[in-house]
Amino acid sequence: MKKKKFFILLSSSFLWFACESNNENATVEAVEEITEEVDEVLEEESMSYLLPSPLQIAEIFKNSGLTYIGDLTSPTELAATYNTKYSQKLNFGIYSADMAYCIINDQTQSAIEYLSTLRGLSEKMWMTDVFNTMGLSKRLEANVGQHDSLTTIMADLQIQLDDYLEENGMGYTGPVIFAGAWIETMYLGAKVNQANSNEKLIYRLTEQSVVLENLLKALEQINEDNDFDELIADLKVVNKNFDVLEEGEEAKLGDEQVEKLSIQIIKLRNKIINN
Amino acid sequence: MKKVIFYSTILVLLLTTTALKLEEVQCVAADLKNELMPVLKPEYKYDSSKITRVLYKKEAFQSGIEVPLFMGEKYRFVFNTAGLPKDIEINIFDKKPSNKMKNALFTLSNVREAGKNVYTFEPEKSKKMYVVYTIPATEEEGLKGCVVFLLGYKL
Repeated sequence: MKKKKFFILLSSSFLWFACESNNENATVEAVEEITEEVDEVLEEESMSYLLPSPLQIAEIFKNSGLTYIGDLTSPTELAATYNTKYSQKLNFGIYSADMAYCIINDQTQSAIEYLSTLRGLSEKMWMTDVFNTMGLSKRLEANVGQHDSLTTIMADLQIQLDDYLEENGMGYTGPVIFAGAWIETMYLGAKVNQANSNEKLIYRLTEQSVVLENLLKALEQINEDNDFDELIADLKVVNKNFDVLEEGEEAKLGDEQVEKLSIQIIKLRNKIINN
Repeated sequence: MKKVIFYSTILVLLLTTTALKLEEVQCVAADLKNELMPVLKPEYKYDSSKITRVLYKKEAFQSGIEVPLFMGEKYRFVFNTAGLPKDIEINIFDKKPSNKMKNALFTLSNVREAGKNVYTFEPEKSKKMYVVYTIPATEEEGLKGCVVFLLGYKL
């Protein structure tokens, strides 16, 4: 009798598992039909907004004429003055962009200094694991002068940061860090363009309107407690500059519009780094 | 003694089948993401990623991602669907999902292969794109998983 019970249970367990697998196959065939039935008007809250890596933006700017000017980046000494989580996140983004700027211009020693500053800030933010596991300084030092290897190391840092935020349920931090990085990259682009005006770079600065649009939406999604009201308001002022653009792939801001955009970006960036 | 062996066997059996069942729906996002890295390299560099957690409902629904791309640059979209207990549809559109003039540039069901979980798409033209996941209805309670999307760029 016991043997019989045993075999009934054994068979039932495997049958249950087998049935589940068969159901999955049925789903494969049904899913196409279902897609057609779903209302394809997506609600805003069902959308999420991808933000590009600061490295990609910096590389695109570099290919369009972003030269290296030594004293443009944010002083590392200021890191000690960032005592709120908000200022730490924003300036973490600022320093990440500065590190990317140094790396794409083969300024390895400066990049290592920014890495050290980022590590210090990450400790303040309880994000120590982002840097501890990779031996980044050593990798940077070992690859001095090897441009491709340096940018790969920077890309690896981005992967590590994204993984860390995801694994620790800190997805809401990503858009704030990115905001700092985006503002700094735009600042560098604006300053270099002011020093040496360049049509290609102006076009790339203009193109950033699509990123700012996504950034604003991403920040609004995480602004349940109105913590980012000021940042959103400041970025909306910057975004107004792009209202003049007409629909079209070759749209580009005029000289006066670029100057107005540059002044606002520089003002916003200085406000953030001076806390 | 025989009783102990009998009930232990039953317990192990039930735990094993339950574990197999749980493994099906488990989503270890970092592992799924790591599986995609070799699909980018060496040509493409990692740009960004989005892990979408899916909780299946009694009615089908959609979830989307707006992806900004820069003109003239090359991109590779990579998806890993291994963390999903039931297949979903993935579409990539050139315009907002609500726009009636939109074109589907990629449709997963057109390229789906049995046993394959990693799919790639490289747009011919770089402009803002919209990834739309369509999640089918289910009667199963608490069925969940995740889909991983990685974007690579080549300058």
